[in-house]
Formats: sequence, C-alpha cells, structure tokens
Amino acid sequence: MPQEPRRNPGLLPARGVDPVLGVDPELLQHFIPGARSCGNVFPSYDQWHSEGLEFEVAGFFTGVCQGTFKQTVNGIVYLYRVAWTFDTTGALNGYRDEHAMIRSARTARAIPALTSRTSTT
Amino acid sequence: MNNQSIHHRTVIPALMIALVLGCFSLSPAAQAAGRPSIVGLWNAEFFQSTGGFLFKTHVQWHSDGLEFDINSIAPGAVCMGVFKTAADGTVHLHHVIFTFDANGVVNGSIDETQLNTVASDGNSYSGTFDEKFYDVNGNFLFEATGTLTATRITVER
Repeated sequence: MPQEPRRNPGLLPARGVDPVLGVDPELLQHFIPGARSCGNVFPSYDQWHSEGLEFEVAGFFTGVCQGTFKQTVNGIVYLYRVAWTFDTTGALNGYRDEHAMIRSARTARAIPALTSRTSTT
Repeated sequence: MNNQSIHHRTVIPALMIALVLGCFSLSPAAQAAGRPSIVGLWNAEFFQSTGGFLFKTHVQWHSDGLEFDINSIAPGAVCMGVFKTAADGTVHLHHVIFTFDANGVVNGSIDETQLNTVASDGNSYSGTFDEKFYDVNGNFLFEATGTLTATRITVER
C-alpha cells in the first residue's frame, strides 16, 4: 500500500531523508536564521521546495537568492544559488553565486559555502 | 422551437466536452509531447521585439505550476506567475509585477503573458512575452512585446 505523503513536518520534524519528498524534512521546514546567506552572514528565512528549488530572503536590502539543490542518499544536500548585485545607486553591477554543502539543518549553521563569488554581468 | 431545442441539445454537450478537454490539455509543470519539463532554475534574457536587449532574470518554475522571478532591472524587482504546460509542450505563463517610481513608491503594475518552449535537451527554453502596463488605478498605459531565451542553472552548474 502506498504511503501517505508526509506533510509539513512541524517544529520538531523527524530526522532523516523523507521517502516521498527525497529531502530532509528539516530542510523543507525553514532554514536556520543566522546561516550563511547569499555569501554573507545575516539572519535569513529560507524555503526548500520539494522539486529541488530554494528561495531565501536575507536580512539585508536586496538580500534575495534563488537556488537549486540535490540531496544524496546519505542526506548531504548540495546547493547552488544565485543573486543579482547592485551598486549604491541601484544599478546592476553583477551577480553572486554560491555552492554549499549542507549535512543537515542542525549543522548548516557551521558549514560555510564551498565557493562564494561576485562577478560582473 | 423544436429546432432550437435540438440545437441546444447538440451544442451544450459539445461545449462541455470542449471544456473538459480544455481543462485536461493544460496541466501545471507536466512534461508534454515528449519535451523536458520547465521546472527548475533558469537564467533568462529578454529582448525587445526589435531585438534590443532589455534585462536578465533568475526564474524558478515550480512543479505546482507557480513561477517566481527576480529581475536584474532594479533592486527588489520581483514577479510572480502561474503557468500551465499544453499538450504540445508549450508553457503558458501569466505573470504579475508591481512597478515603482524613482522614490520607491508603487506607481502601477504589469500584466505579462509568456509562451515558451523548452528545448529537447532540457537545458534551454525560448519564447515570446507580452507586457501590459497599468497605473495604480488600473488604467492601461501601454504594451510591450518581445522575445526571451533562458538557460538552465543546475547544482553542478
């Protein structure tokens, strides 16, 4: 009999890989405020969508990032995300991208981005 | 009267069949006509109908039929949309945007439609867009059309 898909895991979700969504329920819940954000260290709110897309709003102006991620069978999440960057006048001056490896939501706080860079367009 | 009744008995079921087929011919995010899905993260570039470059965006197409776009045109320029994939593989998007003046005060909105086709390798898509600009009272201001291309952004890059 097929299992009922697990819904919002709540504030204290079970740990481990979700058999339906294929990602750690902790990661789908909300990311830990204070995690490294768009290449900076700021409080942030992060959404992890079941199809492998990520969206983050960080606690600074224009602090929004969009990412795509995959989770391996051992639970490690590989994330790649991008964000536009602007100068002080609001003119586009490049973009920022970041690779990150996350072992779990509990340890994400301690794991910095693998790479983080700013490039001109 | 009899002719009218027969006409209604013929037309109404036909309309219902067309309606049902219409509902099933478009579905969110579905793969259609053997084409790869548009679901994912993309780097898109927009061009005027005359060919001039307009702007770039990072676009997320979600599996539930929702789309979210961060535009490079200005800080905070975000758009949200809803889309369906037709049986022929084309992706139909309806997308809304608030506009702001130089002081950051909202001064209107844009109502945009897109018609996109994902390439057979799944790594790019291209299409057309039609944007209708409105003021804060909903009065139509002007329309802009053009084309767009996009390349997929992956975890592996």
